[in-house]
Amino acid sequence: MTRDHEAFVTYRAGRFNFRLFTSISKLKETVSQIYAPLDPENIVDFEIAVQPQRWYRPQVTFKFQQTEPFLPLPANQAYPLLEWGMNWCVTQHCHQYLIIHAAVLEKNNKVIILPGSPGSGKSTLSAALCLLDGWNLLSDEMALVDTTSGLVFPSPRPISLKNASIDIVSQFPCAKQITPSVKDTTKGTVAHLVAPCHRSFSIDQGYPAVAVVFPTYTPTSTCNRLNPITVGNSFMRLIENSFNYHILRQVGFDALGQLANACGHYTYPNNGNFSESFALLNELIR
Amino acid sequence: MYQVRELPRHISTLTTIDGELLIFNSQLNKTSLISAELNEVLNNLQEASEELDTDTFNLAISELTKQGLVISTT
Repeated sequence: MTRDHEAFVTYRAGRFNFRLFTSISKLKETVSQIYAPLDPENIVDFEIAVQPQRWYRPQVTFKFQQTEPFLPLPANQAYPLLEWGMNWCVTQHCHQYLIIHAAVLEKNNKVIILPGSPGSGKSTLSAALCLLDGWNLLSDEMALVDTTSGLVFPSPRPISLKNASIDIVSQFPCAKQITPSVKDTTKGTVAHLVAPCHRSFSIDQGYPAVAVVFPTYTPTSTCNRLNPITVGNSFMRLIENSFNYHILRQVGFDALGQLANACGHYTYPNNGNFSESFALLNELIR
Repeated sequence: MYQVRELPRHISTLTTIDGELLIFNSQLNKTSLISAELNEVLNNLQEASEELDTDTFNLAISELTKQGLVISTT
């Protein structure tokens, strides 16, 4: 990769520093609007590339070192591909953390973890909590659990919104920074929301989680309520939502044990009534 | 008659605050959950063998044997 400064942008995304090589000026512009720029010569965790290929039906590719973990995508999907590529870099390499597919939110110095499979409403609920109820987003896609302390470390990045949730969140009064919707991706229509930061916090500080809440969006549900589940039940669900538990082996078991035994665990079938969600989740951090 | 044996080195356990038992087998890289009820059986296995109904006891033994925590003796 060349060292021509025009050819790359260096930035901080959550806990990690990236150097992105790209000739796509719009992608560089979007990255500069969303992420904090770093000195071009800063040491980075990952050097990545998103580059165009083909003039007929143009495509983009994502590369980390010599690896192309994804098939090329249509050129208009450059930004989603970059986000997915950065997620891949972290989940495949940062095994100093137990990484759980979950949103992490903080209020009053207390943290809740919202693990969730696609379609669970995790990101929509996270956006509502951040935009309408004063929560800070510590992470949208992955909870980074320190393997020695069991504390959760922040890695705030834009919230990935999909399909109907884009329209819902766009109508929130504070939703000022949302990337343009990209249609027909493998996940449907996607857009990314930069969540507001309600107070400054150090990304070098770990937080103890007070609750793990498994949301499921259930439109037909007549009432929203938190259903307590046992630590063991939650532990096994968290393994299913983990990217690297099987790699960490004993270390992962110990880290997850520390986390799980220190907080409450709930399932949360909900019908998208946000004011009820705010009341219930605020109760967890009192 | 059954006996609970010493935990092999490749087995780690964690008792949750709800009384369940989590077992990690590092040889198999496998994690299992034993319910609080069965964990109670584990804790009192010798006595349980005489007190529990047969179905519950057999279920407990089956689960625990899978984990290598129970050996059968005569």
